[in-house]
Amino acid sequence: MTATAADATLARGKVGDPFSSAWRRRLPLLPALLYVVAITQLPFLVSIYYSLTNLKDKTQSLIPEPTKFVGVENYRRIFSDPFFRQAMWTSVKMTVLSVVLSLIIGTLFAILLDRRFFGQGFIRTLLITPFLLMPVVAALIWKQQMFSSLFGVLNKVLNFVGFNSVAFISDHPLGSIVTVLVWQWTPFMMLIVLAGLQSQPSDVLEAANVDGANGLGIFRQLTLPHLRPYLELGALLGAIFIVQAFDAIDVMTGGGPGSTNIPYYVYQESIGGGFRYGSASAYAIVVVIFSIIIATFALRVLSSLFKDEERA
Amino acid sequence: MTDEERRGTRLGIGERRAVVAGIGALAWLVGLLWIFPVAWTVFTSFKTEEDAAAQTLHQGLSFGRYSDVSHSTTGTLSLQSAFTNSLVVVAVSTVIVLLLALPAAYALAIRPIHKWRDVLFFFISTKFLPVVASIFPIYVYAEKWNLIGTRTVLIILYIAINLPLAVWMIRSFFREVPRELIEAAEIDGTNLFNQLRSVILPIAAPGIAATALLCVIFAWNEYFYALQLNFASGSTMPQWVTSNVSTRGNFLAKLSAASTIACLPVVLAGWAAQKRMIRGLSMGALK
Amino acid sequence: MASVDYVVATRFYPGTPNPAINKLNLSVADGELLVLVGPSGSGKSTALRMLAGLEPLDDGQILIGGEDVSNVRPRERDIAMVFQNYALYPNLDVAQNMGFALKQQGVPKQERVQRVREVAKLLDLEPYLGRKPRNLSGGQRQRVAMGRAIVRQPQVYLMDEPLSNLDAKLRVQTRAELVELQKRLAVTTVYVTHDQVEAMTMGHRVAVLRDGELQQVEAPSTLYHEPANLFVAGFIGSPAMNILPVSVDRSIKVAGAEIGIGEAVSGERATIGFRPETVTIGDEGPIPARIRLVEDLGSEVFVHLVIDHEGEERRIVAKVDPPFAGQPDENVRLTLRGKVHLFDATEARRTTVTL
Repeated sequence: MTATAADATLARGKVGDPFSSAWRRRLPLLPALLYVVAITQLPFLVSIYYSLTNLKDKTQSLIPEPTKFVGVENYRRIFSDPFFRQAMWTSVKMTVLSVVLSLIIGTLFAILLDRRFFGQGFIRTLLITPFLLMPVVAALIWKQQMFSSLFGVLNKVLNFVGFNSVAFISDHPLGSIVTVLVWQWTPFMMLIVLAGLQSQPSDVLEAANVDGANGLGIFRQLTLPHLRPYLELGALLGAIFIVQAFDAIDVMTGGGPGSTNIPYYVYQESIGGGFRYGSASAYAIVVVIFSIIIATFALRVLSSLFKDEERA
Repeated sequence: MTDEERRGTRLGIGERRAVVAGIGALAWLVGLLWIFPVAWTVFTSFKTEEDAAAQTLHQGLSFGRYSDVSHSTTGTLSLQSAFTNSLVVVAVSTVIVLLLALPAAYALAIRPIHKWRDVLFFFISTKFLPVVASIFPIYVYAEKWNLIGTRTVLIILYIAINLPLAVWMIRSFFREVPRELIEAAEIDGTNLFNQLRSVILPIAAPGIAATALLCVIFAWNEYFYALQLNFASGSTMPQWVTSNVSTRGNFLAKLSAASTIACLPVVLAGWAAQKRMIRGLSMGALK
Repeated sequence: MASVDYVVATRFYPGTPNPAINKLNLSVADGELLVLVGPSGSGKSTALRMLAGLEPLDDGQILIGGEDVSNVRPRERDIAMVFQNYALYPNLDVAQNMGFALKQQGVPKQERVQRVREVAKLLDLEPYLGRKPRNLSGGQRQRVAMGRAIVRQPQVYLMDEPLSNLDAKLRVQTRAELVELQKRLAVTTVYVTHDQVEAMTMGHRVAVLRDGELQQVEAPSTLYHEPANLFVAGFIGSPAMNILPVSVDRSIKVAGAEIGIGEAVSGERATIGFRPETVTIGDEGPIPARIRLVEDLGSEVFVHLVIDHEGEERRIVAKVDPPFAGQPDENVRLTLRGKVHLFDATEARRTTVTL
């Protein structure tokens, strides 16, 4: 039981007095806080500035244009840009599919691993490994070894059983990328859900058994509700990382249609080839605003997690 | 049923032996399938290029590709320099992350400030902002200050990437320290530094180790900033791997060897510290 | 409602040859409340869990209502169990907790609600039916755990130290309610506790366990007055029985004073035991002693004394009626009046003399 006496010691120092208890409490926090603000917020502010200009890389265009202030011109163009909308839609599909699939598969794996069997530690080690790999390596492995039309294992197996080769990456770019993301992130979800399963008190499960519930009934009525905060946390953390997926796209498809998500689109617009920094910044700002909206929603999930902590 | 067979059943007797054995077998099947792409790649790294391309095994296995990959050609990124760069960047950034995160976690867990919930949310929210959104301004200023191609710029950025996660996780580990110990230390008049050292750290040490491991994983595997802020010849391990992707022909075995080398340190660290990382992921995120 | 039989039931600690329960033979009659009591590690919880089916049997059988259930799943044994930490379902409210088993059995909602309400009324839980366990006090949770078992109308109730997490006063009160309830419902109950006071006040019969072996199973008063061995004698009764090692001739000597013990086990080392109430304190008497400590509880007085027995200082406790005027360090004389038990070298009780 975590001590919630922490709240009892919240400072009531005098405002403004630099040596008061309140400021002495804040002091240890400041280095980390200031650092994060400086490195993450300042570039963001600069981006806002650029987004209001028509900044381009002058070396890339034939007719040099002077950089001038264009107000909200960039923003207006965003909403009529079909590629941007497509990138948004691809982002949503990619993130939702990857998060949901890795959560489901991760839960199934966690259930498998939740009891002792011969070699349990070994199998768990194997399952964790994809999460430890470099995302670029993971993407390369799937691109070259598994999906490749020329020497991919999957196609060799398909041919062996009598089917034609499938050009996975060219025909199913989004599916290929989701495969790699799910492969890497399932272990992460599995560990979180496993922690959830193991935090269930065993006497409650025994009681349910004595009361007549079978394995499936216990899972549905007791375990799943118990797992809910863990699943929510996994989905939240996973989404935070997966929505920013970049490496896999760069390696596998180079951003073809159907596999370009927002980060990759912004990248293409700026230093990835478009060099239209002004408009790219505007795209980025729009994305940030969306993120904040979603983050506020996520805040509600997080606060319910914090609330549980208070009660514990 | 013997005891050995029953052990590991959670719901008492009645779980048929077949079911228990079946689940164990299924777990083995799943585990082996899941690791297959990795295992196959490692296997390929020992083949010759012809064998790799054709997925055959006519010419036997050797370490040949590994030595090919270790020797650098002029103008391209060498293994030694990429490895050193990665090592330095990861080590320095992780150490600094811990140095910043420990006091911050103290201020959010042990003698919490009033607005600890807001601060914590702020830290996490910095991860909502896409990395690509800020790359251009960062590039501009990095260029201005002659930081392109240096380890310094990566260190600075990796600290910002890992700090929120570290603060969040270490804070939860600090919450695990029994209140009475801290109060006893306060009565004894110790200051923050000594409290940390003699009371809090020993208890939270495993959790802090797990946090450090996660920071190392994310920093070592980071690709985007390393790619954008470096010249082709001066970057870190992820870029060294992609530099082995050749357009001149397929060097699948060589690439497999490069991938294996690049991922090995973090994979081994993750395997060794597995239990701690599990505990870390679950406690740090959930308690 | 049914009888319960343990037949040579054995369970080893997993992976070891050491028995947690060793060849237990125990029968519980239909409608009886049998208490399993013993110190930690005695195997009492294991024995209960074997009956529940949560621990498998390594040998022997368990019968419920005359049927062999040794290989039957817990959920098919028609038993209900109250756990030490209550094991309430955290995401369900009180009504759902109590109705859980009925729901699993497919009992229609109307009937379920009806039965839950009846039991809630019985246990004063009606105002809490909509609350979740985390919003209940310890005592309320305990009652919900009981209610969950009662609603099921099973053949046997199993209770694993259900009162040990309550505070002292609530424990005494709930104890009495429990006994009344069991009498009313007349369902066979197997009750585990480490508290011998609970055992003595609650059970029709009490089974004393030690290291997995059954020491004695009798009605409480029989255990008290006719303990089968030294362990039972020392375990039952509070304060504990006074125990002294003696050597046996035609009579035995306590602190030098001869106590006629009549027929005896001659020539061996033995042990005698006598309860505090058999010790009378006065100015005259065969046994010299010195007062160490006086505990005056108002309704009775416990006097802790020291005697010199066979060259060693031994501590004795006496129970006397108030008022008691003695002071620490006073020298007094003791007389034994009442039952004195003699235990032989194997710790079995050989004979009892009433002085």
